[in-house]
This record gives sequence, structure tokens and C-alpha cells, in this order.
Amino acid sequence: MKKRILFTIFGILIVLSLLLSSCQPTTTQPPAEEPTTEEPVAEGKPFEGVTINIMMEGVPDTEFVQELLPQFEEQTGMKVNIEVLNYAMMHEKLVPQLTAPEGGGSYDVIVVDNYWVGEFIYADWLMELDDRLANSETISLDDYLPSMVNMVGVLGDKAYMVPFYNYAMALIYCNVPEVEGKVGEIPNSIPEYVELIKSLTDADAGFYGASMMGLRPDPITMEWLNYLYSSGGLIYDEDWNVIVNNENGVEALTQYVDAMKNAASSGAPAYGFDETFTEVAQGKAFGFITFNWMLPQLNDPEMSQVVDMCTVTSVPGGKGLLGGWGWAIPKSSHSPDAAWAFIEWAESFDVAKARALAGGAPTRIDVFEDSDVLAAYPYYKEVEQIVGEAITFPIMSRSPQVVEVLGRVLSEAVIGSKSPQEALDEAAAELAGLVD
Amino acid sequence: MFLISEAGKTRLTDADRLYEMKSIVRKRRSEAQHSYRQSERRLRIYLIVPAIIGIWMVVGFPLLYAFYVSFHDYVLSKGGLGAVNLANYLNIFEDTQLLVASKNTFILTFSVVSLEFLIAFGLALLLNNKRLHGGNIYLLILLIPMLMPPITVGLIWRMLLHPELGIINYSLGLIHMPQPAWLGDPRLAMITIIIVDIWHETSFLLLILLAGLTALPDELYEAAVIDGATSSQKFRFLTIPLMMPTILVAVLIRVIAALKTYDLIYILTRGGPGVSTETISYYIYRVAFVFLDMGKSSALSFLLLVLIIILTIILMQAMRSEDTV
Amino acid sequence: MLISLRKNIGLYITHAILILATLFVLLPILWVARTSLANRLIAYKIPPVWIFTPTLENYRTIFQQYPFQRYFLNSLVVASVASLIALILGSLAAYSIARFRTGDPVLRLSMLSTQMLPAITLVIPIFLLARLAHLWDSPFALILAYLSFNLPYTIWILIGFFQSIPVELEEAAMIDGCSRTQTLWRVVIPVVLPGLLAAGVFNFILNWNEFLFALILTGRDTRTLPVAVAALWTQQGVQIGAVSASTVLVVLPVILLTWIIQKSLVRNLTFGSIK
Repeated sequence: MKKRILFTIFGILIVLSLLLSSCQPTTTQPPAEEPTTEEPVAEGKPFEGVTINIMMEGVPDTEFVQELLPQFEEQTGMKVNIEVLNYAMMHEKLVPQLTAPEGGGSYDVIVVDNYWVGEFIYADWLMELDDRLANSETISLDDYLPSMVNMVGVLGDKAYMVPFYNYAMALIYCNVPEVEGKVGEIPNSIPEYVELIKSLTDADAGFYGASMMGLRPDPITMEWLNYLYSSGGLIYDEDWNVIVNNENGVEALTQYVDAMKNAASSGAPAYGFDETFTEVAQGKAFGFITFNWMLPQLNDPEMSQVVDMCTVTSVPGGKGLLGGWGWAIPKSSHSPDAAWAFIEWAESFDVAKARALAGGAPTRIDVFEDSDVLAAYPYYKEVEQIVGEAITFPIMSRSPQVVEVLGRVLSEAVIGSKSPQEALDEAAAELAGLVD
Repeated sequence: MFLISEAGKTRLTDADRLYEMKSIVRKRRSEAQHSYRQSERRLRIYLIVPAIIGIWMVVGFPLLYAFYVSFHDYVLSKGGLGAVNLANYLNIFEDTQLLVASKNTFILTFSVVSLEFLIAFGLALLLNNKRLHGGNIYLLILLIPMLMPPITVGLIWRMLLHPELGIINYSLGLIHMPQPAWLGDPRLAMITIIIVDIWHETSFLLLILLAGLTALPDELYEAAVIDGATSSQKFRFLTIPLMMPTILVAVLIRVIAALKTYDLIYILTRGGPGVSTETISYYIYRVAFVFLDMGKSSALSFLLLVLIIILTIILMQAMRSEDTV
Repeated sequence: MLISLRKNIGLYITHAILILATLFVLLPILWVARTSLANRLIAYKIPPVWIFTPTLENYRTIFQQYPFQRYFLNSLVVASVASLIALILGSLAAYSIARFRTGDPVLRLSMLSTQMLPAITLVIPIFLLARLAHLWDSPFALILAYLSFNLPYTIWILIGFFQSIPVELEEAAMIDGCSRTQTLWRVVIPVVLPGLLAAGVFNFILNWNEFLFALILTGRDTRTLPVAVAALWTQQGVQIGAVSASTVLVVLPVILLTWIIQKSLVRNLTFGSIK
């Protein structure tokens, strides 16, 4: 009896270890990294046998690239492995890889969030792309919105990235039955907007003027920066002096705290992007400041009950936060040529347009203004303007740390443990030390 | 008169029994420790060497590397190893954020370990009852949370605890109870994390403690019953001392794991609202992976290591002395 | 008569407490099971919709869009191989420490110290090692890492169990003519089996749930479940239905594991029966 149990268990485990050995062939790296040096195969398949690994974030555009990928693999003979990860985990996973010596990493193409641009470039982890861009037939940085190029394209006078997609923030509001007859024009300044959302709030009935996100560090920072920029404030001025705690900053934070207390759910200090979307999609809030490309999801009856009720517009005050991602080739890439060929394909007009038509977030001017794209998404006219006028997070090697500091003090202001002035003064003292 | 003498008698036999049972336990322990001492010196070395190799093979170098790095300026995004200095260690004592984090870590660790231990030990004792039918079904369900990765637990509880759209607040509303903001309320955020942690981690302790109870030799209990011991006497003088090694290990493992909690914090609150759920491990995580300051994060880690070792020694001493009363 | 009634009351109270505890664990899981069959609109609808047409879309997502069956297998292989090896090495070492107090307590403590350092600090050097050994993106790196991280716990758990075996038991066996190895194999191991299983299961679970090393040391095809679940948390929001479906998938092996535990926790495995 006892023996039988032991044997059963060991039996199971032995079978499992056999499974392990049978797993090896599929799990070990395909032996395809080296052949970059091979002569290009003649009939139009220059990368036959080459494999590249790409790390991407789970966003709509990534899905569309994956869907279109077989076409590229067919054309070039290249094998492209796309590894999709969630935002927060990407940084953890990328950093050890990027510290690997030249040609020693596992990723040939990466996508870089604008927060990481300074960090990655100052650390000398990304390849310069100027020569490749100069010789390219499909991509020129002139085709892109300048705001995108300045954020995830060039730094100083060198190009390191090609803009991939934007996540400029915008106001999305929905004309749900609760607000019928109560909303006229959407106001054009933060104080008026806060007044409006406060007047729409009926906490006892569980309806709020806005769904807000107070989760540290990026959700709250990203949301508040829209208040800051639209109130005329900035984190640093042109000479990198901290001005976040000037009167514009304090006013923006005072308004933000007021909105959080009187126009949003009491749970909002812990909300992230997911909670705010859910609240608006369930018709429990009038609107929220979020990524401009959240609109198609609010029109999806599988996720939302406010289908066809919502509109995207610029943040009241007109200056929202611009975010975006760029393609880059890390210095640790095995196959930079194949990597560049992939970027050229993914960013070519046809592919960029196909992505936009599927619901992606364009960065190319010609795609924004394409008649098919505009016919499918008339509000892209508005989005192009939002992206063009939005302000970027300061690009510096310690941007992620700036987000952390801001996130902490903003959250303290929201729960009332610090006044807006105290919170921003504390931030200013720390932010001054983070300048490069 | 009769009552008093009856009570007196009980007290007397109680003391006798106590002495008797303790001596049984003590005898077995000391015998276990002293016999075979001289013989087979080689065997004990052979037995332990593979494990030592197994442990240090992978962890040895990284541990030394981290120790080395902790004495250097080393920010990953600023290139290689910088100058040697003690700043990483000295600056720690000026770090006000770390003070808050230490306080929160203490509250979290103390609450989850003590509550989880009490719940798990209680449940294990109940489940160890031979006359209990259906114990298997209870155990099956109670062990389910064990196999859920912390990330799943965090995401699921975020859904359940959504103040406006979560089933928990909806249910509370049905029975006219207050509907708190849970993670959004700075006074409740830590308590909420403690509740989620109890939901997730109690099953680990339950598993180990129940296995420990099951492995106790029946013979001693039978002897105790023949001597007329009551259940509470058996518990106090047999179960507790015999379980002490298992309890020590179970509590120790939980203390170490709780001190290192960062994934649950990461998913549920990110240290907020304000700084109400900031913990040491989450702070170290940010220094290492957001600020990329490897020197400082290694130094912080080694301070945490020293702290944990001290706690471990105290815990071991406390349990040893309890054990040989 | 009176005694049996009193005993039964005790039993009823026991049941009542256990039912309460079970409900605390079970209700959230039932809600998750429901969510796994709903779309995102229904998942968050308040007041809840009790009757809706269930959709298998979430299961389709995790089996087709993300091959969870592969990640599941990866997790299973890595976790069980690492815990099996840890159990073998660990039980030998634990026996040595429990019986002969080998190197106690310095050795014991130093073993555990590898567990005490936050893994975050060790992740980068371990990545460097894995890259040097060409073990990145292979299950072996993870198995080795888990083995060396969780072996100390295994040893510590087992020491307790070995210590609680009365030494006369072994003496008796040796007087009966068993060699030391035979004593270990025939007498000690069977008695300590619940402990071995608890340690093995505990180790398995630590490996199964581990996230950070799994994230850093695996590639697309060698991912384990926790990393795969994390990928369901996208910038557009948490795919809560798919997360729930993956949770249901994860709960299934618990039933198998618990079955193994229960088989081994039967009381006749104590030494009374061996005599």
C-alpha cells in the first residue's frame, strides 16, 4: 500500500521528466541566428533562414502587426518571433538584455516607450539609425508628425528610433442618460471642466462626472500632467529649472484634488487605466482622460454598454500629455540588417495604413490624412490635432524616477496628507537632483 | 468539601501527568540528538554535500556579486561599475522613505504571519480529527489558492474589490453594510492587502502544519490516553512540543516570504494611496528596476538580509526555550 | 449517551467553522469561474446579471491566441523536475542535519540566507550566468535556479519531520539486522512520507508561482504560467475573462495534488503499523 503510493508519485514525476526531454527540440533556440553573413538568396528572399526576436507591448497595433506578419515572412523568408509582454514587465525584462555586450542579447528589435528614451540612449544601448534612414526607400522621418519624431525619433541631432504608435491623451466623454440636458459645450479650461464634472456627480446614485485614476506612479502622473499642461504649467522649463511648484502647478494640483474628491469615486485613488475604462464602459461615469485610441473599445458591445454614445476630444485647456512608442534596434542585436528590414516593412505606408484601418494609432501624417482612414475613423482629424499639440514628458535619463517622485507626492496630495503646495515643493526638491 | 478535595486531587495528578509527559518528550529528543554521534561521520557528510552544491551552484556567484556591487557606485544606465564607496550603506540611514517602508513592512509581516498561523493551525487541528467526515473536501477547497500565482490573485481581487463595480461592495450594499473604498482608502489599503494575503497564503501553512500533525506518532497519544490525559493536556504537553520544529519552520518561511512581499503590493496599490502601503521590498524593487541603481539596491538587500537573520535567530531561540521548558 | 452528544456538538462546531473557512476561499473562486464564461460587459455589470448566455471566448483566447497549454506544460515540467530533485537532495541533507546535527546551526542558517536576499538583487547576475552558460530561453536555467533557491526551504521543512521521529524506531530496526541504508529506506522514509509530500508540494508551489526569474530567464516559447498571465494585462485593460479562464485551468491540478496529499496523509502510515 505504502509502496504503491510512492511508486505512483515517482512514476508521475518520472513521466514528467521524460516530458521535459521531449520538450527540448521545440524550446531550444532555432539554430538560425548566424546565417546573416550568408549570401542573400537570389529570388527576392534576402533573409531566407534568418530569425529575429522582437519584444513588444500588448496594444492594438501589436496585434495588427502580428496579423500582417505572414505577408512579410513570405516576402523575405525571414522568421519573426514576436514576444508580447505587458508594459511594466517589459522594462524589467529589457534591462538585463540591453546590458548584454554587442550582438549578445536576445532581441533584435525592441519598442521603446518615451519614458525610457533618455535612459536607453544615455546608457548607449540603442543603435544610431541615421545612415539606414538616409538610404531607406520606404521611411523618412519627414513623413511623421514632428511631435512624434521629437519624442520617439531623434535625440539631439541623431536618430535612434522610428515612431511606431502614439498614445496621446484625450478626453473621452459619453452622453449617457444620466447627463441628458446637463451638458452644453465641453469647457475649454480645467477649472470649468472640474466645475462641470462636479455638477454631474451624484455619488449616492453611484454616478460620477469623471472616472479618475490615482494609482501610483504612472496612472496618476499621466492623468495629472494633462491638468498641469492645460493649466499652462510644466515640470521643467527650457533650461531644466524645476517649475512644477509654481502657481500654475499648484493651481493644477488643487483642481485635480478637488475633482478627485468631488467628481470621482471614493475608490479612485487606487484606480488604474483598467478601472477607469470599466467604470465608463458600464455607464457609471460621464467621461475620463485616457488614451485617444480607447474609443473603439467603448463602441464594442462585448465590453461596453455606452456604444455609440462617446466622443473623443482634446483635454479641456487644449494641451494634453503626449506618449508614444518607437521602434529601435538595440546594440545587442544579432541581426541588425534583418531587424531594419522588418522596421522598414512595419512602418511602410501600406502597412501603417492597414494598421490604422484596423483601429491602430497612427504616427505618419500621410496615414492620418488618408481618405480611406478618415472615412473609417472621421475623428482621426481631431486626433491628429491632439497628437500634434500635446506635450511630451521630459526626455532625460532618469525619466522613470521623475514619474515615481511625482506619483508619490500627487497621491499624498490626493489623500490629503500633504497640501498641493507642500507636495509639489517636496517633488521640486527631488526633481532638481534628477536632471542630467 | 467533597468538591474541594476532588479539585485538589485533579490538580495533583495534573502536575504528575505534566511531568511525566514532558519527560517522555524530552527523553526522545535528547536520545535523537545524542545517539549515533560517534559513528558514521562520513555518512553525514556524504548526505549533505549534494545539497550544498545544489544550493550554491547557482546562487553562490550572484550573492557574492551583489555583495561586491553593494560597495560600488553602479547605476546600470550610466555604464559600468563606478568608484568604491560606502555611500550606498551610509545614505540608507538618511532615507525618510525607507523609514515609512520599514514601519509598513513590520505591520504587514506581523499581521499576516500571526493571523495566518492562528487560522492555519486551528484549521489543521480541526481537520486532523479522525472522526471528522468530509475533511477531504474541506481540505481540497482550502488548498485551491495555493496554486494561483500572486499576479492572478492580485488581478482577481482588484475585480472583486472594485468599489463601484465589484461583487463584494454590491453584496455589502444588499445587507445595508458600509461599502468601503478598500484599496482607495489610505486607512484601509494595508488591511485590504492583509486580507488578500491571508486568502492566498494561509493554505501553505495549513499544508505544512497538517502534514506535521499527521506525522505525530499515535503511540504517545495512546499512552497519554491510558494515563487519563484530557484533550487540552494532550495538546499542551504532547502536540505543541512535538510540533515545535514544524511550527518553527513554517513560521520562519512565512516571515521571510512576508518580509519580501512585493508582487501583491505591485499589483494592488503600488505603495499608495500616499505612502500607506510602501514596503521595503517594493522599495528595493523600484531602486533596482526603475532607478537601475544596483549599488544601492544591493546594499538595501544586504541590510534586509541581516535583519532577517537576526529575526531568525531570535525566533529559533524563542522556540528552543519554549520547547525545553 | 451524554458524552456522545457532547462529542457530536463538538463535531458540529468543527463543521461550522470549516464551512465558513471554505466559503471564504470558495466564493471568490466561484465568481472567477463565472467571469471566465462572461464577456467584459457582463463581468463588471452591477447589479450582476445572473442568467446570461455563457461564452467560451475566453477559453478560446487562452488556448488559441496565447497557447496556455504550452505554458501550462512548461510550468508543470519546470516545477516538478526542480521539486523532485530538491526533494531527493533535501531529504538526504535534512536527515544528516536532524540526526547528526551536521554543522548546526551555522550551516542551516547560511543555507537559508540565500532565501533571505530579495530575488530582485540576484536577478541580473543570474541572467548573466544563464547567458554565459547558453541557458537563456531554456527550461534548464529555471530548473537550476528554482532548485538552488528552494532547496533550503525543503531542507528546513524536512528537518522538522525527521526530528519528530523517535530514534528508538531506527535503533529497533538496526537491532533487527537492517543496515543504515535499509533503515533509512524501509523505516524512516515511510514514516516521514507526509513530510516529504508536504515539502515536495510546497516546493512545487513555490516554483509554480515564481514570477521574476521566470520573466527574466524565459523567452516566448519557454514562458511559464505566471508570465503568461501577466501578458493578459494589457495597456487597453486587464482581459479579466481570460485571466479568469487561466485561473480555472490552474485550479485543476490542485485537485490532483490534493488527491496525492490525501492518499499519503492516511493515518496508518504512522510507525504503529510498522512495528
